[in-house]
Amino acid sequence: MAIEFKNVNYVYQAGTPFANSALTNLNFKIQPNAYTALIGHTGSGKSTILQLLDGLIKPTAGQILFDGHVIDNKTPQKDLAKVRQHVGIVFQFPESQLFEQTVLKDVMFGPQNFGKTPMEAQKLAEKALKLVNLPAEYWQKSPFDLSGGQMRRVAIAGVLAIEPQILILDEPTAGLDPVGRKEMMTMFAQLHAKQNLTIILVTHQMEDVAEYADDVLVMAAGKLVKHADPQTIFADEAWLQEQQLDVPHAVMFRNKLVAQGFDLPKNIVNVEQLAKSLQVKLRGDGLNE
Amino acid sequence: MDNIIEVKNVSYQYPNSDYKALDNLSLTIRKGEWVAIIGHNGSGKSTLAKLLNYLLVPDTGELIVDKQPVIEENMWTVRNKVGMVFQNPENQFVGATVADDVAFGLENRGISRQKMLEIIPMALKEVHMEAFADREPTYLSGGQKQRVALAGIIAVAPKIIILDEATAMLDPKGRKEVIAAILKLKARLGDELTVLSITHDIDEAADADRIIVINDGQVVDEGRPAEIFSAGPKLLELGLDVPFAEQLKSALNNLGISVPSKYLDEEGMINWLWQLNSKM
Repeated sequence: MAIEFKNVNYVYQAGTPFANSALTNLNFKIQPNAYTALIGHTGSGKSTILQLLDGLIKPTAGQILFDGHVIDNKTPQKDLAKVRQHVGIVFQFPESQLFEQTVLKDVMFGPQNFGKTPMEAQKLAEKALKLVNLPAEYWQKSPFDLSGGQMRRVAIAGVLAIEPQILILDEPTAGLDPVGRKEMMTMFAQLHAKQNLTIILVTHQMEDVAEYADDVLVMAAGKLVKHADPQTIFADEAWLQEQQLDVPHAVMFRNKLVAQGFDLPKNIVNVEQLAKSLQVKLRGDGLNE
Repeated sequence: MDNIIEVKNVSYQYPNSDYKALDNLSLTIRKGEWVAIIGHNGSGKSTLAKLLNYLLVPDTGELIVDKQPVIEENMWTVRNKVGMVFQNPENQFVGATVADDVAFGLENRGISRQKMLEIIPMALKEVHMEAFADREPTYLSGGQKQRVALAGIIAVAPKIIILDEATAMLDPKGRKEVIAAILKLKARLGDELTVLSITHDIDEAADADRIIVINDGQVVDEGRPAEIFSAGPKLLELGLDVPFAEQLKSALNNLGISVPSKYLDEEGMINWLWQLNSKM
């Protein structure tokens, strides 16, 4: 599903003395099946964008287009609900939203809420639980008897069960250990590839941005300050630091080497690329002798 | 130096659980030491922290904190010695303002109002949050919240601070702020403060004097950070990120470039690469 923001503004408590502009004149397009990272310092407007994408709030001015379907300030609430059916959002620490007696029932809640029969909902739930790799032996257990990582998988299955076309991930790996983080991000990459999902990832983990995203939106003080691919974004460390953002470790290390006099390409974003460039450099110099 | 924490053959199993969270675990921590405890999710790290503060009671074995056995009659004495900062900053606020929140621990200990008025600004200053004394905690960033939680602990001057994944939920800036605040406190108090940090964060672990690795409820390894970090990619299994220099080493190794086997930090790695480059 394609998403377009056209001159979107959002003001909290508009028309009151407490009016506070959160987003100013936002314009961008997200292509169907893109994996977009949304990055920015705390308070830059990321959460407001997520709420707009999920139809929880409407733009104060401007339009949001979902495959051409327009959402603006005048859109009735029930039309927002239609959009919401296509957008799955995984909030931070989603496991805190589990509530049902069994894993299966918890995952069935979303589809039933959108009007599916219990039979249909169960099929969707089982499919979603398979997608998150939770073995069937857990399905009849209480979600509260599972480990933290498993609980998070159940919560994510609950989002996938509504078969969204857009999946929004808000810091999905916070609090997990490194192996758990890797498993979670690999799972999303597989979903992106196999289910044709459009993914929007909100994160502070620049390693993940470099590894998984093909498109990056950088927000600062309610404005979109850069929209490019990860290589372009991470090529300017000084600029990112001004936005109080980090670069991936590989970029930081490359820049340190360059400062020491190494001549290395600019488009390095991960450790494998860095190792390869160093190999060429070390071998290349060796051959010249 | 004296041992400030002794854990002797401690086992603990959660009700309804099929396995022991801690299985005959023993360790000692010396007064003034900064120890990082690492292990993957579910390895038993947090259980250990809770036992030290008598939030949980061991099934078997014994814990001693500053010469006091951790048992019911000593519960309050022990808790006075051990301050804990938990993972989720939202879960540990009780005060309506930042200053009230720092006051909570002092009130619990029956400190006079006059004394509190001296201690609270000092504690907030220690973590650079003095400008926020009258603010509502809700409006603070994660890093600021954790620093206020830390101020609440500094105010009651415990001998031991336990950080239970205290930086896990923070953004990189917040993480740096909290680590900087703890480093500063430790530098000021020296051996009067023992720090136990339970963490997955490589930078936090690198600040420790010693790292203890826990897996399946048992101590599986311990050593200086450089010793532990030299495990390279195996660190992932232990629940820790692999330091970048080690990641690069194994990536180079995979490409057929022979690399030194001993642990190199980033600077060491740069020097090594530079020497290799100039030799060619």
